Amino acid sequence: MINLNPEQIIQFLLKIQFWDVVKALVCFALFIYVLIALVVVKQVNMMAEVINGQMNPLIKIVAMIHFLGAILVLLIAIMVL
Amino acid sequence: MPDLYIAKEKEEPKKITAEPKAEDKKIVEPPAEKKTKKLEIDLVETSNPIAAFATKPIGVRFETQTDEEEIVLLLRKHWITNVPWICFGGLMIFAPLVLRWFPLLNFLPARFQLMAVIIWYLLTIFIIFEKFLTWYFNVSIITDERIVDVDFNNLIYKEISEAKIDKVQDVTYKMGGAIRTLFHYGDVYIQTAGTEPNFEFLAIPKPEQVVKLLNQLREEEEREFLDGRTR
Repeated sequence: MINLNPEQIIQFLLKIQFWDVVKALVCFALFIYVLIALVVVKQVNMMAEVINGQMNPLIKIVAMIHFLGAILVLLIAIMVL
Repeated sequence: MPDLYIAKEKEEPKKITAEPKAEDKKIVEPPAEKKTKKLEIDLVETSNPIAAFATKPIGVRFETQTDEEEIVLLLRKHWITNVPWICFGGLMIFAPLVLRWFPLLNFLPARFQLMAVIIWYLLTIFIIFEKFLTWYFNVSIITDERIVDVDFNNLIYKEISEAKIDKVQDVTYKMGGAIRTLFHYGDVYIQTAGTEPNFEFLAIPKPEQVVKLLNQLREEEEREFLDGRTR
């Protein structure tokens, strides 16, 4: 375990830049969005069970692409920002 | 007079058979044919998967549908009700182009500007997809036996209500306003007996045909009840 004295902690906090905080917030928001996209996938599957129509396979694919897209954007944000 | 004893001819013993009397015979009815209701409205099969007014839709089933039950009509909100969110989605798609002339994001570092645009399009896709799902899966179904109303108010809340056709007491429809008259859509209100839920089919196309169809199904159901053909 790293033991930091109060002076070191202050030094560490002073090194944190504004845009690093923004990056952390954006990544956190995108992580929440990935969870929402997962809920959408589950919900689409549930809706498709209630109403079984010809469009259902296509809608499921779109929901899955949206979920994968959300993960991709999260990874891009982690790398680019 | 001859004094001779002549024995009576033996009566043949009654044959005991297992054949029942005519009145005891049960009338064996021929196997009942699969019930199909004859309706006055000509119902053509609909193959369009995103039709708002689909008579006998092909390839559509719902969760609680029985094998002998047939979907007579599947209803969604009229397509014109989608215009606001389609326009909104279109605006969202083209909104980042405004940044060419009005550099609103210039206060951000370049990498954050790029991410802002990507996140914007992700949200646009989500909004459009969610609106489409809400429209596509919010359906009202009329089968030859019952009415089913499927409501997905948002992505995490669903409500499914159903009532037998013979529980329907009163059917009314309302169609008012310029846009509704122009595009021929309105609301249908169905009152049911007892504790059954009442139904509201909102903004559906051709409401008068829906009312007509429901009345015919009710009449047919009553006729079946009188004939003792109910399921």
